[in-house]
Amino acid sequence: MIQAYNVNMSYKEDIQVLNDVSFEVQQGEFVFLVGESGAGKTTILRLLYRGLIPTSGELVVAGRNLSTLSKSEIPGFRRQIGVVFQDFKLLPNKTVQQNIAVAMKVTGIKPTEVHHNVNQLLQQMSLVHRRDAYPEEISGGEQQRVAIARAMANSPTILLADEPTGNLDPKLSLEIMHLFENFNFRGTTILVATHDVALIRKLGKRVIRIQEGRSIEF
Amino acid sequence: MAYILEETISNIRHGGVVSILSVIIITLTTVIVAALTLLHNTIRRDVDAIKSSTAIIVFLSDTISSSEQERLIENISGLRSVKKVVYISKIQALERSNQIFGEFSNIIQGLEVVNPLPASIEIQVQEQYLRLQDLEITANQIRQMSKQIEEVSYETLTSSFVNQAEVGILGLGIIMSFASIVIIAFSIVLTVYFRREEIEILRLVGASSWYIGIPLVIQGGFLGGFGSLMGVCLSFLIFQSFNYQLEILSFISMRQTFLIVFSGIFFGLLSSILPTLKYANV
Repeated sequence: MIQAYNVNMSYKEDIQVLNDVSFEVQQGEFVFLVGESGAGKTTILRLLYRGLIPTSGELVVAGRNLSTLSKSEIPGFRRQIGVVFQDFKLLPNKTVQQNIAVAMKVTGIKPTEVHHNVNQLLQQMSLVHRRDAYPEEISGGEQQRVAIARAMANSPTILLADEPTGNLDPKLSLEIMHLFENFNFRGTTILVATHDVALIRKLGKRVIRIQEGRSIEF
Repeated sequence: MAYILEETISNIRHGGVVSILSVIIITLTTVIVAALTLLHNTIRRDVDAIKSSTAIIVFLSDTISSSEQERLIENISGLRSVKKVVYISKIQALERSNQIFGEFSNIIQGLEVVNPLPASIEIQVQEQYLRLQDLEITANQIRQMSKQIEEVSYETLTSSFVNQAEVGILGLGIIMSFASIVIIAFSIVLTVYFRREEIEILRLVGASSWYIGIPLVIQGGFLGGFGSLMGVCLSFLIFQSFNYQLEILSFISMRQTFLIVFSGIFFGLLSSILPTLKYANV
């Protein structure tokens, strides 16, 4: 599902972030991407959803070679991938249900279908009572659930999460991970970037380790 | 469609002060453009009057024979630049003077006995020969036709002034339109800046460039259209209050009104395309 071959990434000529990184994630896997802050985890995720282009190397995600992906093909590609961030990245002027609906609206789904799917996700995420609330009116855990609901709105084949529990306490963090496990159980490939060792131990999933962007350990 | 409207309104609301400022500047620009159009209409009306009136007058000697006079009229009529020729006899000239002086015609009483006014030939010139240089050429050609010509006079000031005024109006209109384009573009740049995170999120969830860009372009068109409509309304109110006593001018035509509003929409759309492409990266 995800293949990275000899990926190099430098932001400027002298700042090398990733050095010859290679890894694979099989379809339906749940994998943790670990490493210290600044190791290059976020860069890898950004490369995977085509937010960045590698300096060299090859990336194949959901059967698409990202180096040959044209600008007009990016929106279609991104609809196959859900992304969750540490800072949630919710639209502050939209309600919970509007934030979830936006991911479906961009695909051109009929409004009645959007409404139906949003209701299902709200129930799944236990957010029905918060449907008309704005992001600033709900807790951090609820905000992250909204972000996950939005990421899962188009039933993506891959879910990428960048430090999704970074702003949450251990109990809420575990709750979020159980949601991910639930989606993974239904077939979604999950790649979570984190440095929360305790959480990784609790879940016991495969780990890809990055050290200063130079090496990968399985 | 509902999405485009929803996002356009949301953009304008988020634009806040900048959106209001854009509308105000476009409104003021439109007021100036409407005033210029009104001025243009007035000048154009005068130009039309000039074009249909006499441009060259040939004053004839009292000693000119009727055969010489007929030959002269024939030669003048044969010139390419001449549209119409009218012969005014000494008697007709005196009658005109009486009409012009009206109640003060007693000033020229007694002139019937020894009429000092010369016979003349009034010449209307083709539109394309109304420029100063062309009038000079035609006047010189006429002067050389007969020794019985006392004087050839032509009006040049008005036609050159009209040309200069029209160029001035056009120039001012272009400058004001450019200012409007810049302010609308600035408004769109700010909207993109305020909404940069939202645009980034839309990109992440797979929104196409059209989905992100169209509401921004429509926003430019809306600001341009709304501002110019407000400007036309304001111009009409100002015109009405000033023209109340004068009642000599008529407001810009309906066609011109539509043209101004549609120009506002067009310039609004046009000026939002570049910042949308550049800053929203669509």
